[in-house]
Amino acid sequence: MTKEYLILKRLLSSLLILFLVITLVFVLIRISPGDPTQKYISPKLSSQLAEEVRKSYGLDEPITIQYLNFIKNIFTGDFGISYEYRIPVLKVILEFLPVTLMLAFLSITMQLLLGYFTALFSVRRKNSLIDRLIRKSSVILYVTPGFVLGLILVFIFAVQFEIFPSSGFKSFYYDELTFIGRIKDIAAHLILPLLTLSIPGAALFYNYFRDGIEDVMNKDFVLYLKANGFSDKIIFRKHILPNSLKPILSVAGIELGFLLSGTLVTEVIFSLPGMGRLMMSSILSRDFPLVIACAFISALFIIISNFVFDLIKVKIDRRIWKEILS
Amino acid sequence: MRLKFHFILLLLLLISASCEKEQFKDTSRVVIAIQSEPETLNPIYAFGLNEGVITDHLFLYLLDLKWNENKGDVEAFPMLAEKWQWNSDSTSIDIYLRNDAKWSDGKTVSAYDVVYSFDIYSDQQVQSRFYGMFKNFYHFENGEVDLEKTFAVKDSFHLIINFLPDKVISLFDLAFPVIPKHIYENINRSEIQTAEINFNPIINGAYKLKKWERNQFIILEANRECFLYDDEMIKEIIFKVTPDYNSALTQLKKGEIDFTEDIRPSDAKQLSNQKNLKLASVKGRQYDYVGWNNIDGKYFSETKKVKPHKFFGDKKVRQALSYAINRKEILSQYLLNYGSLCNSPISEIFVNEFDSSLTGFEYNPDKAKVLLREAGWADKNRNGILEKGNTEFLFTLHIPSGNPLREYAATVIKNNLKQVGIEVKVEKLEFGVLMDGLLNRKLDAWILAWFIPLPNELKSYWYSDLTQTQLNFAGYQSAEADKIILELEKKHSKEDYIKLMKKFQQIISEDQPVTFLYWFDNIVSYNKRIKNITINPFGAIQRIWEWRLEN
Amino acid sequence: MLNKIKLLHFILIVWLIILIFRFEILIDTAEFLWLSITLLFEDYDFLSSHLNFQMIDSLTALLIMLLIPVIVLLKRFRNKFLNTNVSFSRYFIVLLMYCFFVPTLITREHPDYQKNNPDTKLLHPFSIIYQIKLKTPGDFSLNSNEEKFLKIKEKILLKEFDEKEIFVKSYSLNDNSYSFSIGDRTVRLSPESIHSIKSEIVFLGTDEFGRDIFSRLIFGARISLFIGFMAVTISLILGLILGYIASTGSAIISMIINRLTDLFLSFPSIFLVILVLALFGNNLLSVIIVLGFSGWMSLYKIVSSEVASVKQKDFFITSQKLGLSNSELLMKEIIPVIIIPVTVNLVFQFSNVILAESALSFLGLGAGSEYPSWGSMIEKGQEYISDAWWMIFIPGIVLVLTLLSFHNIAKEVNKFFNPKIS
Repeated sequence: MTKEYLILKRLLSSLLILFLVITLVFVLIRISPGDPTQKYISPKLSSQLAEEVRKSYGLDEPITIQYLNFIKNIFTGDFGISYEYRIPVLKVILEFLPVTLMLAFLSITMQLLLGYFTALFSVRRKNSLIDRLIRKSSVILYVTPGFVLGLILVFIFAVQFEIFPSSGFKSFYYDELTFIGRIKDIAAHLILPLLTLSIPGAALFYNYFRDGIEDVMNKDFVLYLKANGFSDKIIFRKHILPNSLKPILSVAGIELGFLLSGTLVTEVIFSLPGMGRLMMSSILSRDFPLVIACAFISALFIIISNFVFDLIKVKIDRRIWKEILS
Repeated sequence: MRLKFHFILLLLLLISASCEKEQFKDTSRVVIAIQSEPETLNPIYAFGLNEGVITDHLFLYLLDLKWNENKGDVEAFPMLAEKWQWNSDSTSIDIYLRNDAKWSDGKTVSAYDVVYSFDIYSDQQVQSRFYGMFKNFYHFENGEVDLEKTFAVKDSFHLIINFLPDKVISLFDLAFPVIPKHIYENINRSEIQTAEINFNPIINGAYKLKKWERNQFIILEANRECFLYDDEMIKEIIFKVTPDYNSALTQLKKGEIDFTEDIRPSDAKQLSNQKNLKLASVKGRQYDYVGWNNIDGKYFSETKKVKPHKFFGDKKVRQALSYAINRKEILSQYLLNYGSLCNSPISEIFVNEFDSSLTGFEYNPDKAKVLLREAGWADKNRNGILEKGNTEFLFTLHIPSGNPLREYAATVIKNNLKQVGIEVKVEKLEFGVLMDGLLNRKLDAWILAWFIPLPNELKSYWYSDLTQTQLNFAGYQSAEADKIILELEKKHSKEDYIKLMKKFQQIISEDQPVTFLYWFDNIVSYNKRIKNITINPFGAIQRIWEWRLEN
Repeated sequence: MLNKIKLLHFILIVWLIILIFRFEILIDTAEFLWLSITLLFEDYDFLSSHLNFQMIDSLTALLIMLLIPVIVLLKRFRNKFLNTNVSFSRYFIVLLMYCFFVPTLITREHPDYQKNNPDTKLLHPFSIIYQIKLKTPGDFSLNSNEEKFLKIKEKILLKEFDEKEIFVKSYSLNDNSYSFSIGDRTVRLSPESIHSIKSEIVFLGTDEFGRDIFSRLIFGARISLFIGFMAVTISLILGLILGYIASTGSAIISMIINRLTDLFLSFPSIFLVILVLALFGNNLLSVIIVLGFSGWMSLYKIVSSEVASVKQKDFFITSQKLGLSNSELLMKEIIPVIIIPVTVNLVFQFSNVILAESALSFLGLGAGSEYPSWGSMIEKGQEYISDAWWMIFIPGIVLVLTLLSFHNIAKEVNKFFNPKIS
């Protein structure tokens, strides 16, 4: 069993899963009540219009034929045209994806950094008052749901003190700002959503880092190294950190996957144009092609991010190849 | 650690950056909050209200229709058409276009564009929002306008439109935005929907598109080439997508937003105390009603035959329900009197047709009990619920989710009906599911609003042939009402028309196919610095080119 | 002193408090129960037409109140659990359990009671309102059991609405008549038409419809816990069955189930849940089923891997050789091994489901559209964030405390079973 073979195997099974995901969504959405042409039914519009639109969407054909057509199109990379936006769905997604990508990557960085530094801070002052305080509050922060945290932040910073805007992604006068002004503008809009997304995760990583570092520090080989006169810094960089990183990376993989597949609640609270809200609105308006494409993209992200983090783990520890890739 | 230091520095920078706000106040722009993102700026597909509002400022109409509150009707003023002349029996009209209207790419707007617009709008392939609305024109079976019979183009700025002789022609038959022929004729008609031009439209209106940031904002800029332009006009209009009502309100108070629609009545009072804001409301365009399914929906969908509903098939029961519901309480306690009681589907904005003598069903639980007893419903086992034979009077009232007014109304109605011995369960449904239930006649009772169209339309709501009228959700069956509806399609003198309309109101009020609840206002609030705003039943955001800013 | 209080004592203290405050109601309920039993024999049709959930709820509340001391005292010496020291999490869970079983005794206001006065909307916590009760024409003769039954029923069941009650923020007595305002109109009433006026403290404030937030919290706890229990049960059953099939069935079946698990794992479950709920409507049942179906994967993984490892072990092979049947193998050998990790997982699942339900309700897709639910309370709070902070903070804090308690309990359970892992 070579490395290439294992990767190939994993790739194939990922493809199969993607295929199953879109099939599942296709079936669910077709058997549900509601109809994308509902919005064409109104006293102002002629009743023939809805019929015409249905026909042009191909919804009057039997479901099996619809499915076959759909699969055929998917293989040519054509996800169809959004019923709502009247442009190819991939193009719609491209307009919403940047916000989600930005939020997800910024947030995961922030989570890891915050978690790491507070853990270091806390380990150094082990069992002091502040250490215990951080530990206790980290559990509370970890269990706090995003929507509660987000609303509390909005209440404090947007309603009471009016420091940050409570919604949107940019100001309408964005284009007229200087470069620094633009960065300020985006930062002011993003800081509350980022905090909302990051604080629970940071609390989680804090605990992982803290446990990991403490665990490794008590291991025999560290004591041995210390006894041999290596400096604390080198021991920490070369030995403690890599060894404590393993569980964190798999958690980070899962976390990033979920962040990428849409940070729905945060987007709803702060009215951000991201994937989560796109997904929700496409489901509610029965925009079939868009729903399927969204499902596809988010499943893809989950698979990719898990895979990438697995690769990083392998980079750290080459022994776990088989375990991960099978 | 160095990294930590950098990190904290970055954080501080971010925080400090966001604290000091740049003062940005250009006097010549106005920010309008809209709830949801427009999906298209192509007038052919502007199905949504917001989309219609925006495209109306990008594309000109033949005639400028204004609402006359005293007459309760529209009046036409010149727009693209400089003047016009009806023939003696008003079956054809001579239209003279002005010759200084220009498309944004420099071409002149001509009569050929007008003819082409009708051609596109009526084309089956294009699926425009006007498809099937050209019944008064010479048309083919599939709804397309017969261009040869209908239009006669004398020269680039003069054309004649001929209508079918036996139809009632109104100004609304000409109320379509004109689109550029030279752009669209190069596009395959079935591909217009997805064409690139929809995002960078060639326009002839008072405003042009400056920037469109998805789900954030749309910026319109005054179009200097348009004949409506003058120097006083507001230079930039920003439609800001603000789905969160609360943040829209905060921004309105702070002056970051200048105009918001759909204000909750409970906030209106508070806003009226704000120094920088003004309140106004659009009256009489929307009413809530409790729908009773008059027919047995299941039986109908199986056999396509009509059988009265076990509860609501009886006129007496429906009247009793209307007596038992305290509409005034909802009006005064939730709507805070931003609205009026509704007794029939004809709004009071139609000053002539509106029957003010109609009093409707005033809250009277005792009368309701009497009527129910007459209809055979009585509570023999004293459990608080009426029964007839073995059927207990209990049903589910469906309301769309996420609408506090209807939630409130549903609870009041539930409590009211409990007093007369009817048990109601309230269930919220997502709108798509609710519509599905209504179209397939699966629901027994529901609360919804009707937004009344201009010109007035009765047939699609109340005509009894249910295969033709999907929107008759209640399944209202009345030979008398049908007769009037059909009669109204013919030509009548103004007096006869008014008489027929009044008769219709009396019939429908007597029958109570649904319980008409109340007309509710669309409350609008805007910054006082905007002057010369027109707000009337035609809409809240209209004729922005007439708005002025205070200096 | 404080750490001498055992869980048992705490349960009894809460029981006693409820008993003292609701003694009258409990006595009435007992009488009601007695009347119901007699009517069961005298007039069955009458009773059955009156039977509804609310009535059964009140009666079971009485029975539970009777049973609590019995159970607690009987099991006292046998059960290690009841004798453990209390921590904050346990206090809180005991309170939640009381909310779950006897909400009608904790609060006497129906969670959907929409007061008929706009002045009672959005009242802040600890504000005072007056309840004016109007006189009713008393036509009860109290001759038969039926009459008595109806009268007591009226008294013990929480009313969803009462026309004869008016709630006002203030009233005044002058010229021998009471005057108060409802919205912008002033009402005058003569003392003859008034039955009683009493003041009430709105403990946690009211919401945008004038409903009592405290009542909604209590009943919301019930819904959250109910959904949690049911969804976890579904996940458990699914996970056990699929895991068992996968590890004992043929290779093909096990491969199919494995792929299915991967499918569910690589699909953002919130997306699936929203898809199903938005498309098919969100009522209590569908929320439970969907949440149950989206949480079985981890249980499946535990079960299948544990079973697979048990199958390799000597004791299993021996008992197989001894001729134990499949079901006996399952009961005697497999379940004892998997029960520990499964229990730990169940507690985590439980708090996940509560979180998921409140998030769904927040998005308008949970059970919150039918019943009071914490998530939907917070959602409403968002709309009034600048006027009524308590509409977000109160349910928000309760939700966080609940999640925290279950999280801590899960950790404790884990520690209890695997003492080595810190």
